[in-house]
Amino acid sequence: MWGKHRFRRGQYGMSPARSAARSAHLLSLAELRPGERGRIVSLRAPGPVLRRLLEMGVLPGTEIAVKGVAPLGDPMVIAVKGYRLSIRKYDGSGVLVEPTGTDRILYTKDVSNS
Amino acid sequence: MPTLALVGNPNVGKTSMFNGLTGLRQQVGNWPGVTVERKEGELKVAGQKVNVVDLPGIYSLSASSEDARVARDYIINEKPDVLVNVVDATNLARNLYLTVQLLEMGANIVVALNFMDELEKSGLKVDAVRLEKLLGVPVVPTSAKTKEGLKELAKHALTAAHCRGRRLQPLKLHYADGVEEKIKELALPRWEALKRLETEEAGSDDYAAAIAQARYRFIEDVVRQVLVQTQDKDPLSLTDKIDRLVADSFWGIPLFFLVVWAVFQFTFKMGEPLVGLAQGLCGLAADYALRSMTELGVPDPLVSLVVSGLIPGVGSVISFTPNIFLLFFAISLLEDSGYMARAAHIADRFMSSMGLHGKAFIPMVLGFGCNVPGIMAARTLGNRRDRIITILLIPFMSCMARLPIYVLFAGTFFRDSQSLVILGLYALGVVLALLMGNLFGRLLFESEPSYFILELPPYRFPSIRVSVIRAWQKAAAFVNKAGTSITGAAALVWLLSNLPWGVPYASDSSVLGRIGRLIAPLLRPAGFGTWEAAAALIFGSMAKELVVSTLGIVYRAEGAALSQVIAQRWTPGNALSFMVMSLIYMPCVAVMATIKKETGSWKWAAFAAICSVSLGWLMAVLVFQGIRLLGLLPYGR
Repeated sequence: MWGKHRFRRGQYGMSPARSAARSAHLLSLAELRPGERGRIVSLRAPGPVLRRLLEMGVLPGTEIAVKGVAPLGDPMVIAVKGYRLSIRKYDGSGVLVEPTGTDRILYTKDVSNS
Repeated sequence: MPTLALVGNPNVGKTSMFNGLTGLRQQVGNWPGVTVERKEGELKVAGQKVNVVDLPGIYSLSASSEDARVARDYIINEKPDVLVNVVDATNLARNLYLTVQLLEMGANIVVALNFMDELEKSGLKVDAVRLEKLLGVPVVPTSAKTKEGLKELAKHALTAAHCRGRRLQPLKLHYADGVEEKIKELALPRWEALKRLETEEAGSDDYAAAIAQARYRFIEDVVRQVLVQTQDKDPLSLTDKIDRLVADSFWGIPLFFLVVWAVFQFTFKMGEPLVGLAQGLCGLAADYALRSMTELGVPDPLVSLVVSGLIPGVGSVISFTPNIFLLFFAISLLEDSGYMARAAHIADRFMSSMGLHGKAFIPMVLGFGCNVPGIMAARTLGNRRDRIITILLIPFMSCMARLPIYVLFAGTFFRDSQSLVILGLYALGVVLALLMGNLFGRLLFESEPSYFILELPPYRFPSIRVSVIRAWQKAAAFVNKAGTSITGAAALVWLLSNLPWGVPYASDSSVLGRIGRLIAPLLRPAGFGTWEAAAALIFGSMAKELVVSTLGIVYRAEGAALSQVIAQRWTPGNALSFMVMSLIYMPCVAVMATIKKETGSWKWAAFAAICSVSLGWLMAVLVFQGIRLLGLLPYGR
């Protein structure tokens, strides 16, 4: 029942902007693995989700780090603005991130990607 | 009397602050027309009384949620004399976002810098004096838990409230050129223009992003100037360590089930003796009323109304309260400790398959004990869409009151596979919830997307005092709000079963029996088209426990004898369809009253009733006709 691939694809498929982004080594937040860090480059989401992300401090220019993934593979925990945020991979799929490095993995291995 | 309103993010100790300021002089209600809780209390500073209003916990004023709208409307329309903005010092940047919005409005605010003690322990310091200069409003370091700084906060707030005539200079940030142009074009007060751009104007998504970015740039600058690291350590290292276990890919799930099981046991097992006590007291009260009223020569109908109508009605209201109290005590502990957010984080993957939010899991599980506390626990869901769908699905969770029906019928007809049949009924409820959850999401809330973006607050020691107060308020609100409807319904059913006056209680010549006979043909396709079954179902909509006892009354038998009568009058086929009907057909009166209370309108309660009666009937007919067609079980007499 828990398909491994269900949440791999982004919310908006592969738009031209997205494939251009890919060539510049950008990833969607949902594609980052535990331990990876990055800087948010752009943000796209339906209105209410976008506003929620903005008020939570998930916005362009912000540094984030993936802290872990829930036991069933989704949602993921990110460190942002000095606190921890749990976010469904689907809701994070419109957040484009420029990877900036990798930390020691803090907790939970990513079961959905293994 | 000046009014002080508390405003701040969730998880910043705002409730503790409110309790610390007002003591136990508080009133709990709802904001008009919405499902958001409103708390008011009174504070005494320097001999003056101040009215304190607790606004819902919000991250910003620009969100489209009910909570944000309530806070926004209150601040704009009711213009409190002073706003106390509670800020979590350990999470300064994100908390200041709301502060900046308030400052842009020119609101008269005092910042309470909460959790200062915790911050210092984690090796950081906030320069409150510098922050005060940068923001231009009073900043008071506090610790709501130890009540440190609360007196000073109250004094500052009162001083600020007296200065309200003096117009405050709103904070003016410089936005991107496109935004600034638009602000000029709109020719509104700056904050109003910003609000319009963020929420209403075409292309508001881009404006919202640009505005948020500029605000956070300002905030980062402020934080850089006021936050001082005193020791070299990570402030969240303990929380991360606990999370390594709590959200572990292997241990996370058993631990989660252990906690859910503990909450369930605590709520219902610990409540059992208290519920028994409450019922015992009601029995005594009924005896006493019977004796004294007979002595006084009160006419029989009136005695009967009080003894077998009103007192049992009140009794059933009271018998819910121990469970509600214990449940909210447990939930409050879980929320304040930080585990509640983790539970939602862990359950979300499963709940999202029903189109639900991770936080809906615990209310749904509690529904298996009793739907009433389950529905009340749905309060923990912040989003209106998620809250209402959860509330509508909880009645599909087979509560403990439905179990005796299954035991009677499955025990009579399916002795060898009794547990399998009962398990199947529970599973049917869950499967229907899964299907209906997706359906409700698509049909009723198509325009409101479901999302899961949840703060995982640092782990903290919860306060027993806060939890007790919270639990007490919940139980009292239930008695106040749902109590009258439940007692009224009890009186109504009593009336129907005794009219016309003189007929045997709930017999076929009573109004209830006649209604039963009227409905019976409708139940024929489901295999149980008798007035007895109809009467049992009508009583069951009072409380599901009454289905079995009504069958006892109409068949004039109890216990093993009732089982024998059932074996003669019923068949395995219609017993099965009757159990399916009992599972689904109608939330009991207490559940309906709770749905009304929690959603703020009878509309949703009526919707739940219509939906479940039609679905229950449909499922019962499908089951019976399926059995008949396939000849699976003996179905006719």
